[in-house]
Amino acid sequence: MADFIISLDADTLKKTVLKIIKESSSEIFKQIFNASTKIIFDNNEICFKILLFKYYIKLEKFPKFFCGEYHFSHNLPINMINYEKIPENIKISKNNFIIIIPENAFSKSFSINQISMVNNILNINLGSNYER
Amino acid sequence: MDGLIFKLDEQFINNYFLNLLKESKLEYFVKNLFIKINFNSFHIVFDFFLNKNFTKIDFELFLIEVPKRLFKDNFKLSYKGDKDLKKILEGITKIFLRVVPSINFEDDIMILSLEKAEFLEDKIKKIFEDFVIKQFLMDNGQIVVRSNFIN
Repeated sequence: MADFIISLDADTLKKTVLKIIKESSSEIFKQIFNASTKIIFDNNEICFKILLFKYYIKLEKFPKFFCGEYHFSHNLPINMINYEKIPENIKISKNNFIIIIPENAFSKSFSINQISMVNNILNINLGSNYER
Repeated sequence: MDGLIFKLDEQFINNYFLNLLKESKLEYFVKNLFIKINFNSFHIVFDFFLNKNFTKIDFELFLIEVPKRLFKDNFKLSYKGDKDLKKILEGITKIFLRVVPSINFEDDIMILSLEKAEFLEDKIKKIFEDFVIKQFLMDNGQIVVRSNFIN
């Protein structure tokens, strides 16, 4: 086996997202997405329960290697997002967004074997191949 | 489980460094690289082209310090060997400088700082800088890092 497994639980993701939002989103988004927001990983979806609203992000397509485009569908309220503060490698539209991981010696060395979101755990299983 | 967990095995690390050698077109100078993960140490063996011949290099790097935060503080490794070995090691690490530009030597200590590594975007490093290492296990061909987010 040549494996690199990254595991993340929903609570840790929430804390991480809160930090990103604190630095990159509008005041309204900061106010509604707070510590009381509930995040659930299941069935390969990330669900956000914010007040009475339920939002989701679903991974639709991922690249063969770690670098490349990750395509997601979503129902996020993107009108609340400050586009100027979004990193350049994130392209967002009404129902979709794409995260682009740039190619470098590190990211192009790994292939993605599997990405799963089950029972509140996100698992990313990376492989590394070497051909003589 | 909670937090962020990284698990990587010996074969993955070997393939990664072999690919780096291949990409750097330095396979000719470094052959038969094998990195073995033991309890808190890396046993590294390879053939190095030196003075028109291949010389077997065999040494062990011992983990002596694990950073409190993965992308903020330093890993420290010590190695045992003569001054010639140190010179060879410094030369070899230059191969990997693009990926780990933050390797430094202080006496017999190798210092590895992921904060300065160029393979991750600064914005991503900033996100991960609030993760503290709760547990670092290195043994029997595997490395496991468990970390938690601190507010």
